[in-house]
Amino acid sequence: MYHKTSTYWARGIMTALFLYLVTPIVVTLIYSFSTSWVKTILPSGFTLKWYSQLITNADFTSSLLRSLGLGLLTTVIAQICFLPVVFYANVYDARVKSHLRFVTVLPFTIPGIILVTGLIQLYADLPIPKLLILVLAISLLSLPLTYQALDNAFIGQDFRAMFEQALVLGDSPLKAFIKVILPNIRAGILIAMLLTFTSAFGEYVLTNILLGGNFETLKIYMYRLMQSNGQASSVLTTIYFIFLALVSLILIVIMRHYAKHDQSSQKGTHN
Amino acid sequence: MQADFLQIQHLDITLSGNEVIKDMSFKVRRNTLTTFLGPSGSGKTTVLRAIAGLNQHVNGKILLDNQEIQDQAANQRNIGMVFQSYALFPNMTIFDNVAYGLRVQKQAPTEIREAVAAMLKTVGLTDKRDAYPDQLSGGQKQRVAIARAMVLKPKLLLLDEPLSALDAKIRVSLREQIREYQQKLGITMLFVTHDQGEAMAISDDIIVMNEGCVQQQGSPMAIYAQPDNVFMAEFIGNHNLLTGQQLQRLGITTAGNHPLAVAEHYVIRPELISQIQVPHSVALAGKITSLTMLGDRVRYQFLTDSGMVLKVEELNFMRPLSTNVPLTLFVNPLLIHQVGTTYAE
Amino acid sequence: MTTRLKVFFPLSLLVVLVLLLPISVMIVASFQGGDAGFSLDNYRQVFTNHYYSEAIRNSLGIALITSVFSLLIAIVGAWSLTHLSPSTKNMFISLFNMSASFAGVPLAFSLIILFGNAGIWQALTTALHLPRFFEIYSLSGTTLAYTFFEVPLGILFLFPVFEELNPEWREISAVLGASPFFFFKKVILPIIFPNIIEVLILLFANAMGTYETTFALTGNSIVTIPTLIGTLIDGGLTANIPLACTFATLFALVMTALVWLGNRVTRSKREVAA
Repeated sequence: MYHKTSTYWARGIMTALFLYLVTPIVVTLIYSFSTSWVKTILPSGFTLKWYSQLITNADFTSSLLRSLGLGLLTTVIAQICFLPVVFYANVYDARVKSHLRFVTVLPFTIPGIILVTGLIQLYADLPIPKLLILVLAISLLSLPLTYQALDNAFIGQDFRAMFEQALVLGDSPLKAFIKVILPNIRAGILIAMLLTFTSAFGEYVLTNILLGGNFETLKIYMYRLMQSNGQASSVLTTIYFIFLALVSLILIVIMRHYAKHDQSSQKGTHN
Repeated sequence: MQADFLQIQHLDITLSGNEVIKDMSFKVRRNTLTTFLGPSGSGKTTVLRAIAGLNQHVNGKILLDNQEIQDQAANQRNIGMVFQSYALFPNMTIFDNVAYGLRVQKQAPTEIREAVAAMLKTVGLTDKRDAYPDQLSGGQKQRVAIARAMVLKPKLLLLDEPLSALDAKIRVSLREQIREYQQKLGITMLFVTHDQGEAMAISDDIIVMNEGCVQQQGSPMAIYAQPDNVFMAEFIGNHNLLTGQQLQRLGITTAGNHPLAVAEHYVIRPELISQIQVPHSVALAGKITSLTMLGDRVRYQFLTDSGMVLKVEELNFMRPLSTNVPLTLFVNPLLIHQVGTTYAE
Repeated sequence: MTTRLKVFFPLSLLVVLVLLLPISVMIVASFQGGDAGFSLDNYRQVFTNHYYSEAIRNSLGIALITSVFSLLIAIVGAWSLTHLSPSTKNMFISLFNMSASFAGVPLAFSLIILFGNAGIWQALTTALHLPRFFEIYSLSGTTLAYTFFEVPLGILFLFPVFEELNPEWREISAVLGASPFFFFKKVILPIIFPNIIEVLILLFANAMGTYETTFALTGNSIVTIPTLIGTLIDGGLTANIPLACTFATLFALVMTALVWLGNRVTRSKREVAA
């Protein structure tokens, strides 16, 4: 009995939470298909014209490309910075991990708005391209995601023994890493890259303040539209949401695949 | 047999600031299976990793087949290693796992195919050739790991607790197989374990370690019957460990062929206290207070009239000694072994 | 040693270039007066200027209310989440992840459509002749907006803690004759309490550092520490970067101390347990 009632409560609470979180998104979605929806309970009609208008707009394409570029660059830099370190911490020396704890709370102690203050103070007058600083700074702020996802990739297998086994069998450390470690943390790397990409793709604070309006990314374009054209902005918001949903879907697919693999390997050892 | 195929001389190992191995020296004979036995944390695995070249800070000399190897990288030593966790590469088939080292050496594909097929046959896994590690049982995985190491014909094969992750039954059968491979292929093996029974069962030689030092090296028989010091006597576990003074209270005045020294420690093996009287044996009066069934043997607690508790073991003839009735048992002082005064350093 | 250097080089370079150097320079700049030289003038301004104290008051107020409120919902939500089937659980975790990433401009815009002057809420209340309970562009509106990412974030932090609670504990406790309340008081609460404190601190810090949502929702009409810093940096005539540095330094110091404290709470508990 105890279990049943608590399950009903749990379901009720989750449904309420679901409605609460999803309502603004759904409303925006409907708004983006409405001919007009101002001060009425229901929209006056439905249309796709806002979509065709936005997608054919050159500003949209260029801001999308900028955000994509920013996301890709950041993803690569974050991997270069963290893959070797996480590998080292898991295979050579686990004590390193306690020193990396500071990274995981970085977005809370030094959020974007604080970091950008320091960046402006230091780099405003230096002849260094601001875009470079921006990419590096976004990489820094995405490190917690990258770190956590990569570190998770090392759970479940004895990577240290595998790496050392490859060395004993005659491989050089670099070759052992490429042949034995990399193929077995593929899923983790993929997840880390997706998460990093998503956070960089949607970055706003650093980009806006560091580069002013000179580098219009998707989010900045979204803000500009929000001030001037509600319909177009709702389309962009919906597209952004669909992008997030797509990333979540890919993540779920990867993790399912990964979990299945894990389960079968566990079955093997207990035989 | 070459007496000093592997020589460790004055080995010192420091791990994260702690000196875990202190001035350790020992030798291993060619074509033998030598076991490193000791409680966990005694440094067995550390020494094994040093021999394989996997430790960073090592002082001292390691000679393999008269060659100094302590400065060579792990991938230059031609030493095989088998890990407790199998360390199979999950992204490769069994064939590719076993072929790994041969491919590193850039051998011809036909040679690789033949060598791997022969090795898989030896370990009885020919039909698993194209399977992936996660489709194998623990015992099969460890056989792949052993095959992967043996196919390279290493000068020395190191096995780091290879059986610890396996079920009891598989553990026994696999240890016999390992012994068989060792004798068939003539590989020198160094085997780490914390399981006495395992060490006794398969070794030519046992090296017992504690706290970074060798306590005793010898044949399983010698390790069991003639512990060198108090640590060894306690480590073996089921012996009666008594001081000279305690022996005197039992009415015993000599041990081996020597008069007793009061402060010395001695061991009496429980199976050597019996109801059978031989010339020169000493009678011990007392009674049995409890018995434990061990299967093939029965272990008794024997309380002597002088107030001491002794462990006594007899083969199980299905007629155990009665408890709590007066009984006289006999021990031959010639078989009492002296182990030393205190713990060895 | 050389491998170690190679391995840590990229990360160290990044940390030095875009974290250590800028933050150090920022701290130094916070002590610079109008005509160079060391001065505490900026700090005096922070605490005496009415406009600035309003920013601090707003930030603390919004952050405190949202973090406590969101924490309460998150506790209930995380508890509920553990009762769902694995596939529904994963779906909700994805939803919470998405909601957390949806924060900022998109969230602000959605809320304006929903609650804004020309929004559906407005139409609904007018049609039903109800009073408008609140204004989305106001302090209470901003507080509501924050819950849309604080609640999912809190659930994502708390859920693993709740998942680790072993159901056998409750059974063993019942077998030993304890009442559910006794069990909750003696077992569950001591285990999760430090985690709840830690999550509260993280939620509070996260709300304190929120810039994008506030700025997109209210422009500069609601002033908080982050939006104030934003104005001080690129506010044209009113720009005062050393003063922005002062605010940022104070912020970083207080938050680091808080988060460190929260970490201590859970870690000391864990060490005792181990």
